[in-house]
Amino acid sequence: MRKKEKHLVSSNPFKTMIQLNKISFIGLLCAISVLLFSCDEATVSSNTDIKSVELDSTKTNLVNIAGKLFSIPSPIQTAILIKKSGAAYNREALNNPVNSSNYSTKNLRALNLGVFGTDMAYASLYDDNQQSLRHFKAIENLADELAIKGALSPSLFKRLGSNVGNADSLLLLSGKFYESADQYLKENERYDLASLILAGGWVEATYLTALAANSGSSDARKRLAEQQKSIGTLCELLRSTGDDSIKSGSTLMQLDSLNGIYREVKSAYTYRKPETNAERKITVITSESSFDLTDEQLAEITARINRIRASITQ
Amino acid sequence: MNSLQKLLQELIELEHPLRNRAMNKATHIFIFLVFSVLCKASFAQCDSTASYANQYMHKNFVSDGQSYRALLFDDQVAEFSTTFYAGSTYRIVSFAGLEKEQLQFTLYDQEGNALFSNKDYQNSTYWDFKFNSTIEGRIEAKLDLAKQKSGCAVLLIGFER
Repeated sequence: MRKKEKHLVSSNPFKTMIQLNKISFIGLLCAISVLLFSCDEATVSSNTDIKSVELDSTKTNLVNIAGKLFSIPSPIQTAILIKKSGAAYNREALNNPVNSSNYSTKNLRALNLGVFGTDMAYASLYDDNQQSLRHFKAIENLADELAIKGALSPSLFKRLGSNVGNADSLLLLSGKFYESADQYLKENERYDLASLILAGGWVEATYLTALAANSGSSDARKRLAEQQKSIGTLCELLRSTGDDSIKSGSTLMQLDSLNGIYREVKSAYTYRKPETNAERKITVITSESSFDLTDEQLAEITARINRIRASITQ
Repeated sequence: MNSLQKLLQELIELEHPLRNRAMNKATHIFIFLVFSVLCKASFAQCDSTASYANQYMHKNFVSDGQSYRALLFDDQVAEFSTTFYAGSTYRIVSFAGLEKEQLQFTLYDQEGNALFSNKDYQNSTYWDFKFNSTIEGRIEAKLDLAKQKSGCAVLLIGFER
């Protein structure tokens, strides 16, 4: 190899010059591109006359943030609602952290990483510190097995571990943990894992909501009905990963079936002008929406979410 | 980035009478290295932007656990939809580049009615939203072209505990 290069340089100076010119030209192009990128942050004069750009999606180029058009509501938020609704704590309902070593495929590991995240937030909100710690360990194990633990901030894991027992800090940190994981996976184009973690978190949160709804919580029942849009989004998200094992897997098939039930839930929406307080930088959205979840639909949704959840965790 | 990649690919594929394997290999290695640097630079840029944006996410707000980032050029619009739950207060932080008030965002409801635009409030870097009812929202974000022509756009959504 070295020999060839030596020959290349010494045998024909003209040839070498042309080759070096070509390299230089490409180098120049790259240098220009680097300069262009480094100029991204540069601001232009604020005095420049700028034409107004309408926020009309039909006239502009649309870019999906992180390659996904929709986002899934946080399972931590659902856990907070369950607590607020007055529903009693149900430790038995949670996935046993011991199971974390039983999941042998990457899909099951990612799904259960989401499941345990919801469980940790739920246990933590009800001040079950011992259980939170066990769920934290399960999350750590699964992140390790999925080879994403090393990519996440070690200090974040450390802080998560040391804050078990402090519900407020734990919620903040677990939000950060899932955000970091989501970011890392998307940057590395692991949309399959990112979507499965979200799906697992959603299934567990919906399962816990259904339990609370069936024990008489009207808030939980309302929240369960409000998942109508999220379930459609979730199916779309999983389908868009391009991973055949997800697209043809039983989880997506079962979620599609659940989506079918949700589509039958009647909903209504009325727009009302929002109220903005500029000084406090807050806008109150006063528009109203309603969902009419019948007893039969509640029973059907509960049965299906139980089956989906069982197929993920067992 | 894609057009640059295409141009470089075309250059590589150019039939030159003096082309040889050594040259080809050197070029490929060089291009690979430059692209590695470029990719790293764009991610690093987004990381810096995200760090700045995080300063505006008050500790009372919990991240929704998702990362919303996009490299925007000119009038490109980043768009996503999410559910905002009744009785909750959310904070949306929008940041582009390394200076505040460079990103404009508008929140629409499920019928396409504009509920809020930070453009009306000097591109305010953050804004809080209280939802009386559960709403399917859609957010569109774009650069304020008077201030920035391209850059990494970061949106953060947090809900109040």
